Amino acid sequence: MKRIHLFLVLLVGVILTSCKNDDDAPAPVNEEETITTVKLTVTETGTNNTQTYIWKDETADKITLKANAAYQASVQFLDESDPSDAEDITLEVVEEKDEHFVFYTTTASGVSFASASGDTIDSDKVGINIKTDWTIGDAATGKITVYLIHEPTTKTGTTRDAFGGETDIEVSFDVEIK
Amino acid sequence: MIRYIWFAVFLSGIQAKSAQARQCDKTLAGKVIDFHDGVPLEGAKIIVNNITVYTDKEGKYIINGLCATSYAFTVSHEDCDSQVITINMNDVSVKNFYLEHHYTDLDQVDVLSQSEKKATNSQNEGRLNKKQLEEYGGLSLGDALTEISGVTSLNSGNTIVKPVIQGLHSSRIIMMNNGVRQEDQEWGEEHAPNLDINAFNNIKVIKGAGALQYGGNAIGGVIIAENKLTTLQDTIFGKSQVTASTNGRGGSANTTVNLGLKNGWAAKFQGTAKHYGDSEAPDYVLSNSGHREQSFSTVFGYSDFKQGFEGYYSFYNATQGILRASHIGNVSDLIRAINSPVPLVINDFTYDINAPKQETQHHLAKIKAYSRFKSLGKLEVQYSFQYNNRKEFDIRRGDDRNKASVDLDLITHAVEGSFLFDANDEFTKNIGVQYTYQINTPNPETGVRRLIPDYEEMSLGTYAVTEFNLNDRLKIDAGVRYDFVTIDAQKYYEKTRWNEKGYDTDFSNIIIAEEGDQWLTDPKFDYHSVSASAGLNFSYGESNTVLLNVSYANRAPNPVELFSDGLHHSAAIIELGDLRFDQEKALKLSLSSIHANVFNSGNITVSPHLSSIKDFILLEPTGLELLTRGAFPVWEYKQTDALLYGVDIDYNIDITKDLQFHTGFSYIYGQNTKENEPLIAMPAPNFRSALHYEKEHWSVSLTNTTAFKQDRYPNNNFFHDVIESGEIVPKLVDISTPPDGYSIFGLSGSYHFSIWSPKDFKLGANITNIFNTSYRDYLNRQRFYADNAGRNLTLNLIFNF
Repeated sequence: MKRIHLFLVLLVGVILTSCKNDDDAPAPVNEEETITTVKLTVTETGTNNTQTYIWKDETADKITLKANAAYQASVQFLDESDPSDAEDITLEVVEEKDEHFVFYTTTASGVSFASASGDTIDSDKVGINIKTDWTIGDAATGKITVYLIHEPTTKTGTTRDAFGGETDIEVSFDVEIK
Repeated sequence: MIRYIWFAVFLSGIQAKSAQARQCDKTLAGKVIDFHDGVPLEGAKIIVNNITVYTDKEGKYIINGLCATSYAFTVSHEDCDSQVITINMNDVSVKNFYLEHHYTDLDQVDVLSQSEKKATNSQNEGRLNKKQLEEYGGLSLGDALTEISGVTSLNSGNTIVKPVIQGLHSSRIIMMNNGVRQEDQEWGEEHAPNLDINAFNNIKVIKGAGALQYGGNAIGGVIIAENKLTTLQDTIFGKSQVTASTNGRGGSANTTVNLGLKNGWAAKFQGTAKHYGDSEAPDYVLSNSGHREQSFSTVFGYSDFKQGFEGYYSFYNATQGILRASHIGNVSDLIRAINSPVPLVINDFTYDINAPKQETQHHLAKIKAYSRFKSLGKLEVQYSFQYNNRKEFDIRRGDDRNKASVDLDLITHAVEGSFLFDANDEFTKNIGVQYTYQINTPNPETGVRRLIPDYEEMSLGTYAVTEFNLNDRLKIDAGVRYDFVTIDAQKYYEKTRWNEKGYDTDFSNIIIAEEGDQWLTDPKFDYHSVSASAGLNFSYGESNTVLLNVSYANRAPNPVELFSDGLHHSAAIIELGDLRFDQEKALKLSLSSIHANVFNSGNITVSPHLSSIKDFILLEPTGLELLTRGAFPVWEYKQTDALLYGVDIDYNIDITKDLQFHTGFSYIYGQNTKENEPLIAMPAPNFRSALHYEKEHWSVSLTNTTAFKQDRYPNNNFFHDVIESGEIVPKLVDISTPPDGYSIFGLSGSYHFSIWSPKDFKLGANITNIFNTSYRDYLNRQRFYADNAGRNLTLNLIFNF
């Protein structure tokens, strides 16, 4: 018994003395998978008129389009949390094309989207809408919303609900067609 | 049996010797005395050779006609451990024998007979019996505890089950794992206790903060799980149990071996393994809800009535799948999930567990020693070490796919000592001191900003509790405790968040470094807590008892309440803590009216309770934040004042000799008195009833669990704009409305049979949710996404050896 008591006293001593541990600062964590920026590069078909529209820090550029025109758009997802080392997450999406799908929807009437030539095609031969053709109708205003869907249950549908899966990106741009 | 044979051999040896000695005129006289309070024992029996004598009223004895040689004297008294003492009659003529009269205090309770003793004098308590523990062998502690009225569970699916005592849970409850306060990141609502129910043979719940020896901050109560060594000598016995379930298509196996050696040495080994695949709701598979668990524990020690020591080690390892459909991308996903009648992801049944999932490990080691002092009491000292690792895996992209999002290491050392003054049974005092040092280290390799930061916590607590028997009918108790808690953290804050919370004005002095868009800060907080409790236990009439207790307790905010700032995927919310929090201050009044015989029609216990908690910390929605992922509601921890009251009622009746009916009811009212709205996540009124029939070899039980709809809830619903067919449609996000009530039936039966020794086998079958009812429970965090599990048939075989 005596020995047990002695042992306990020693242990207490060890613990009390081991409590001084204030020196090393923990390593910072910079989240890598965060997508901070969504970039749309929109070119009027048959011209060199190219515009880029950016969604960043809760604010989005306003998209201006010509009525009854056609455009080609490509989307980029960027991680610019470290400004000196921006990363293009689009490459990862393209690599994992079977598990991703980009979906566009709009409240501006007369606008439609379709997979463009040169789009990334998954193993089921479905374009995942990294590159899209936009067909514009009459003058209108509204919003264009871009979704990046992870593991969609299907890649056909006309509303976000139809695709299932998880939303990796959901950003809206104001659009004016004139 | 073996020990009697040894004893007989021993005695006959002495007899042979004594025959050679001629002078047989020696006398031995003295007293038999109760070791612990020094009171002489009347009627103690002393046997030597073929002579038997008993002590008189003053505890005296005298034995004549002994020869001048060595004898083995067997001294015994009812309810005492007998003692064999060898005395050489050439040297001794006067000898006092000390017997321990109160062996239950020495933790020497036989493992086969549960300790009926309450843990406290005046608090409302509940306990699980051996049969209930066996029935829940394949499930979790949280499931088993719901058998106790007033105890419900907070679930995340059907395997992550946290106990809720009268509406309170997580950091407001203390979980005692064999004498050690379990430290396993218990603050998290989806963190189940990291221990296996099969490791314990006695589980009690104290529904209140008054048991100050366990801790000062148990505003909700204390769960005491114990694992006792056998006091039998020269024995080996144990139990093996195998279960197989249809729902989850898995099972469990566990074995316990008890070893009692000579001279008070004993050991116990216990191991459990559980393996389940996806559970199934009545209409679909609950994808990714599988569960694995392995655990092992061993206790060994030596005990006699003067002193003893015990070593204990337990290991727990679990992997728990989280319903795939509950991993939510953003608010639009949440709307789709809530509005969909079935989970958004349903796959075929599988045993595989993918992200989202949890992997937890817990190691606990302790050594404890006690020593008794004649006519004074018992000193106990204990050191314990705990290591907890918790990994949580989200669905991630790219290289991080297999990386945990949360990876926390928590190390806890605790040293404690107590002295129980029990020489006077009518007036016991217990004083103690506890020192705890804890270090939490989140792994930065996760690539996700830490949910809770690196911190060191030191706490020093000291208490004094006393129980005083005023007379045969009235026993009062009182206690007081002081705790000092100091937390020293190192945390990174994003500068935008830092300013948003107003910390730039209040806490600019704690910034120690700048790291890109983050501040490294060094928050240090001290808390002084005072707790007190007083109560009485009064018996009246033939079989009535009333317990009355009032307790006051403080609880320092936990790390998540202070520090959390980040996205919580299972709830699709951003959770923000607050550095400014003060302690919660809780005053609780509880009453228990126990009537063992109400007009010859059964026994009833009615236990009303009332708590007023000042600075109650709760999570409340405050706004919406826009990320590239979409919109997220922001929930901030807030301090408010809360009022809780309710009642637990238990009623038992023996309808015939073999047929028994039991019902337990509990109701709780919780109100945020500052904002004047109901408290969130209060259990709905519920009944648990059972009709139990038992004959010699077999038993059958029909059980029912009925929960009403919770009508009192805060309305945190909001509208969110969604684009649908070219239109912006505001959609209601109903995260508040509780699901409907439900009534679930179960049937179980068991049959005892004998192969090698009487009743050594027990075969049981148990069906839960017989009618395969689809239902959702308000306190299941996955109620937005899926129904609870459907019918389950479990077969259960127990072999006692």
